[in-house]
Amino acid sequence: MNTGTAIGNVISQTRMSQMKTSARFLQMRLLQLPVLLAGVSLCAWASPSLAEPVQAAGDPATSLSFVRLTPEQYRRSIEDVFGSNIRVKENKVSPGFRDEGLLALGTRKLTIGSAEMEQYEELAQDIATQVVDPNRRAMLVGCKPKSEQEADNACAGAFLKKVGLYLFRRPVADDELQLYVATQNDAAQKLHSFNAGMIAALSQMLVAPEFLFRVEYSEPVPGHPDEQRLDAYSRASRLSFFLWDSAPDGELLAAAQSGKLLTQEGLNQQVQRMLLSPRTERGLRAFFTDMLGFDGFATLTVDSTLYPKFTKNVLEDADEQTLRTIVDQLLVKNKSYGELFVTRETFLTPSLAALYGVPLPRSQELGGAVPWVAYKFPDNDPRIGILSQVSFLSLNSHPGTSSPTLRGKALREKLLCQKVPPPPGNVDFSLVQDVNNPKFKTARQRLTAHASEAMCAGCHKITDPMGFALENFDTSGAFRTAEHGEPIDASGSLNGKAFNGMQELAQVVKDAPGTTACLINRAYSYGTQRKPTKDERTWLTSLQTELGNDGVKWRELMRRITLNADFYTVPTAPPLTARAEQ
Amino acid sequence: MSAHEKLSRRQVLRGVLGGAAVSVALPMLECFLDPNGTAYAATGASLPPIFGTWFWGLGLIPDHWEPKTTGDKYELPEHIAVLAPIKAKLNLYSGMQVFLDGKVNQNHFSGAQCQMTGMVSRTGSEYTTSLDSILGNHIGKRTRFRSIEVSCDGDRKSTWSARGANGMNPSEVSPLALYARLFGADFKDPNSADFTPDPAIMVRRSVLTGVAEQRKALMMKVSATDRTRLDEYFSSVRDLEQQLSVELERPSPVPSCSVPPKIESEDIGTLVDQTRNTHRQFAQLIAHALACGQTQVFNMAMGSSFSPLRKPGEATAYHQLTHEERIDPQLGYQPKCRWLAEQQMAFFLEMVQTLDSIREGDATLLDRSVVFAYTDHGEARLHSMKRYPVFTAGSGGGRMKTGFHLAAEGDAATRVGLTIQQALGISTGSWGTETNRATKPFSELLV
Amino acid sequence: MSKAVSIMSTDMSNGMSIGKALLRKVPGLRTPGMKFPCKTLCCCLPALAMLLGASGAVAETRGYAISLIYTASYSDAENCPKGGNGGTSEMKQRILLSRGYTKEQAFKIIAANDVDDKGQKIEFKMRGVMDGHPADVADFPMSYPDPHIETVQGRLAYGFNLDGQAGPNSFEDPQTHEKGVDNQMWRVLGCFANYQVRPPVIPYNESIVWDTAMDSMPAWLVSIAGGDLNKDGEVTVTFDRALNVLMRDAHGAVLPGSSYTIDRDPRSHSVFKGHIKDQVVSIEPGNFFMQGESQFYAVLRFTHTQLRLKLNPSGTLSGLIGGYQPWLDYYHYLSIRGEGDGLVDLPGTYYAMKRLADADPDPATGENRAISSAYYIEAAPVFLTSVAGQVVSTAYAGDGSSQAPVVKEGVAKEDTVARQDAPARPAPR
Repeated sequence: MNTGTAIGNVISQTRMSQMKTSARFLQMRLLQLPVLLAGVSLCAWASPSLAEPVQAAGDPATSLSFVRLTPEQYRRSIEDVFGSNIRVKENKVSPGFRDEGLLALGTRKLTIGSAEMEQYEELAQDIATQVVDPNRRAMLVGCKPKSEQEADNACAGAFLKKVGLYLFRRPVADDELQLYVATQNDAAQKLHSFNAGMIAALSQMLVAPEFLFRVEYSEPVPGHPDEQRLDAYSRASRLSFFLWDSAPDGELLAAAQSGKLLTQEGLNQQVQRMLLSPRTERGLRAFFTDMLGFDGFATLTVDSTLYPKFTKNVLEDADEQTLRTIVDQLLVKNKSYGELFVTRETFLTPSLAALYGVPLPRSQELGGAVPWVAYKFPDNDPRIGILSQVSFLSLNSHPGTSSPTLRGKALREKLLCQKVPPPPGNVDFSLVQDVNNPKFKTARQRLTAHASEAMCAGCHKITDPMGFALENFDTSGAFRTAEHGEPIDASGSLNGKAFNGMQELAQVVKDAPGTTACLINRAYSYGTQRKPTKDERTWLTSLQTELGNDGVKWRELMRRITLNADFYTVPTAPPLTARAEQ
Repeated sequence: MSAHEKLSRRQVLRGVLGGAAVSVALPMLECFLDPNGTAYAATGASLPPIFGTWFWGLGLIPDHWEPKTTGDKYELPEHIAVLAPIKAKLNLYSGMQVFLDGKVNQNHFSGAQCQMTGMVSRTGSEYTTSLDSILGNHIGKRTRFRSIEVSCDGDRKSTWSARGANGMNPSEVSPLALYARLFGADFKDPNSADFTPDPAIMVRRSVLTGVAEQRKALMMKVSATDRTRLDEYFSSVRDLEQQLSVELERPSPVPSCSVPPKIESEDIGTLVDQTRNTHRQFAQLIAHALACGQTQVFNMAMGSSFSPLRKPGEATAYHQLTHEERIDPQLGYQPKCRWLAEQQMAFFLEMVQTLDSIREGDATLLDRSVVFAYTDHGEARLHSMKRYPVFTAGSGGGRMKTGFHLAAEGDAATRVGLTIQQALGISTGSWGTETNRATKPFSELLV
Repeated sequence: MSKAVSIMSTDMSNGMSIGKALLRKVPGLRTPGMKFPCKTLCCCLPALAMLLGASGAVAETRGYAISLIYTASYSDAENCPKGGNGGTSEMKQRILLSRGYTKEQAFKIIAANDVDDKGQKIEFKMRGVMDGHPADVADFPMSYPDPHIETVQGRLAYGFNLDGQAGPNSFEDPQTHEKGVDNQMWRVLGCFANYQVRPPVIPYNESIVWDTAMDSMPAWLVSIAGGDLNKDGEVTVTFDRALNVLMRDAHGAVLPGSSYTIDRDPRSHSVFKGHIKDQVVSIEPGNFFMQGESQFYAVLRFTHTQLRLKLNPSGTLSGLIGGYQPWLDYYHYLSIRGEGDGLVDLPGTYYAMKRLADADPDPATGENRAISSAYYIEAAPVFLTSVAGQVVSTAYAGDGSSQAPVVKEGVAKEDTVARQDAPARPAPR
């Protein structure tokens, strides 16, 4: 076991035992960094040779590209660097828009507007103030100023250099460092306070574009001067944000610094190490949150007048249930992706259990923490796989009525990567009429009437037959056998395969070749935050064939993608983007 | 002295920082206004104009809102009769159209996009500088906030405001948060007798100055595709610097400025009552912020264009209703949709009246404003791009006539945006692209 | 539970047959061929058997959580011929008049927040006298002379005939028209304005206290076990306390289908033989005890307990529980809240209860320590489980017209996924 893994273990153990001394492990981590980088000294702040911008990776970068951090990545970066005792206030920046079904691709087009800048500046002030707080300063800053009322350029310089490496995900150059030290110096003098100076300099780093954006530096591919690839540090970031949804750790940065990360062997080593880290769970969660559109929960409305069991707790637990199921299946149990659609294993909270209508033995809590309990639905139960969970069912419904169209559309677009055209203009929906129409009691009846219009039939044929199979679940996700007293017909079809009800739909989705193809494509696009090129698409198809027999396992998929050199190329022409989804 | 210090642009205030803070007591009296109440007596400068946008989703019931006659003697049809109290300060534009020029109709997007940016894009991920930014750059550069964006349905994405081509300005959805942002600790009451520039704010500003000074170096290296995005980031940094600069300067006294009552609670949601309440809270905050010179530009969205507005207990939200509610054969319209549309008109009335309730001498805050009210579809049921209902309220400080109904069947809806730009002093002969390029303002309104 | 395992391994057929019977009675889910998970099922059996004692074949056990309880008030024009005791200001007025103020002066003082025209604050709370010192009348009601509050004189009141007799102090139940109803508690309370209501209106002071208790107090549970609860027949009614507080739905009502673990503490475990007739559950009188954890319901206990609970088509229960209750229990409910919140004249109530108490004479003094009373209760259908995690009663889905849950059982186990990064609950959005 190498040093990096050991540090990883230290971190995870610290978290698991929820020690209140995260500052201490951070200090440990910071202190060990020089060992990793230079192998010289434990005296982190005194060593001038640390984190020098060694150009081991070849020529200086020739071009920059910017990708804004997501609010989650921002929070994690801060917590990873300064410890989870630092409270990051809610970050209310715009989530952006979807491109190719993913926010990750839309993120590549985001900038920071004035109102967002205001927020970032406020966050920066707040975080910096916490870091230099007298209770933490000794741990986090590491050196003692000569005087509390004055600047201390040496102490500040050592701290900013160290922290800058993590925040910018690359070493801070000497001339850059001088600027930050100068900021500290000015502010400390003006406000007669060493701390105020440190707050100024640290907050300056935290609003710098190099922190708020992931700056991708590219360089020519050796031997192919007309092609571009990410430089070593940018490669480390791409890996780390993809697999961990956070900034690189010390070991990964060290591999970038030494240039090892640019070799296949070094890359292999890092990927293996990273996939064994508990942080892989974060990456998995971030990916599926994006792919399944769980950002929609921020604005989801389910009419509580009609569905009183859809409480605020259900709303908060719904996506977490699905994410826990996915983590359990794909990471803990190492099952293949298809299992997500047919597994009966999941996790429930008391609120979810009440909505699902199942008993859930509760621990002896008296209104305190809500525990998650592993739960297995019986065989032949209509609850099977993640499509029968509240998250999918409620997210793809209208507030007061279920929608086979929305659910079918989500299945097509989110899980099969297909495009469903938007409704044309000048459509007369009057045939659908209102939901209280005594003639059309069920959604199927209403939609069948509506889809008999020639201009509507085309699209509804694509969406509705899949969605009908989910009609046994109402908007809130609760099970039902009738709508307005009329028994529900849950038969449907996909690509000519007929099925009846949730169980059969689940099997069909699991077996459809498009299901794994979609995952593979989405994962690749998510990692590169761009559309795959033509060559890459060919490779992805062959990857699907290779992985096909055993089913797609998450770690293996990640390994294959991240070991492919194309994953780090920078296409010369910007890839085209398609219409963002509404 | 470090390189950074040399580069710092704010040397002027150093003296203040190093020494005692300036504190001069000034009486705050009505006499600062001239007899007409529209100008600062000291300088003779007019109170600056205000521009606001007010977006509501899903339009109105076609054939039921257009007045029968044009000019200033028209009668308000029953569907929008609620606007009667502000009729004299209102203009109504009918017959307006958005042209797709062969592009796909991005339902509930293209129409609003065109009215706010002058163009219809091929995809929903393209969006560019909006009318409020164009006007903000012209009229609102000196205020603490470049603009304020709010949405009343809890959805941050309900916004049509953008500074450039790289993403829209997210809306504030919480009245409590907006209160804190506008009137929290950083608020400097322009009428306060004492003024002390805060050295901590000076430091915060010079931090940003330091960041902004990296612009040149980064811009040289950045790839072509990312250049405008990076540039926009730096504009945002400059905006914030500017905002802090304003906080460091003694504000001019503003008699009509008062801090609104603290907001104690909020209930964000999509039920009509919740939206009304949120809208009311936002209207109050924005009006006070405008009166206190904190901003001159605002964007209010009732919510998403796929309007989630709902009557309690009603299974179907507004957007879905527009497509599914039966047209009552007797009445000739969708009754629930009409009710919801009329609720929104009542909200609009409330916003305009809130502005009109703040007196500035013998005029009102509304009188120096132009509020542009627009929607996403002419007939939402059919995703129609024709016969858009458009309103403006206020005369922008006497720069635009009011009280008129203008019928312009088949004209580009961008004509309204062009008219406002010209009225507020932007010298441009046209606005918009392709068929949506307007070259003719409503000159009958221009003073 | 070793016994469960032994049933599963040695006497499978027996276990399954009872299990199937149970499943058949579970309404809602009609999935053909659904297998009942043997592990869970077998675990329920001993628990069910324990619940039922020797009462014979059990096919169905329905669980409930009490969602509402309050004094069964029956306001009526005949009740208080003198006009009643009013509320707090009437009480203050009476006190001021007794101290020699005029009616006008009294009115002015009360309007001025208990301050007289000389600016002197008038003391009400400490109006008692003990050993020559002012005393708090809530804690020492006997430190103040009996003000002789008006008590109920009407003919009708909710409750039960507890002593089997119909005497001059008995009421007639307005719903069942049973004569001989004993409810002296109502006689004491019924002329305060606060209690002059009828279901579904709840006496204000009890309403707010219950609403607070719901979120902080372990739930009170009921289970009803019998052959076919949709028909007339023998049942066993069991009251228990939960280890969990009530869960609410989006409207604030108790969440139907939520799950509760039964507290093993035997103190709050009361079992009654009973029967269903026309979907109304009644019991053979016995002792009832339930520990509470709220200001008001610190404890609820009766002797000679009777029950009249309707099994509603929606799956809920509603009706009355009553018996002889130590009158000091209820006096304490009121005195803890004080006269301002309780809206009663405390010494007046104390003396009236003492005077009208009708059971459990103190062997030393001969004074009755218990008083007949009746409470209105409602209960929501919920799942009940044992501490060991076995499901012991199901949440009845109702007749299908409600949104009550479909019942099915899966297997719950401890969360085995280590999760140091994921929050127990995602941060609020």
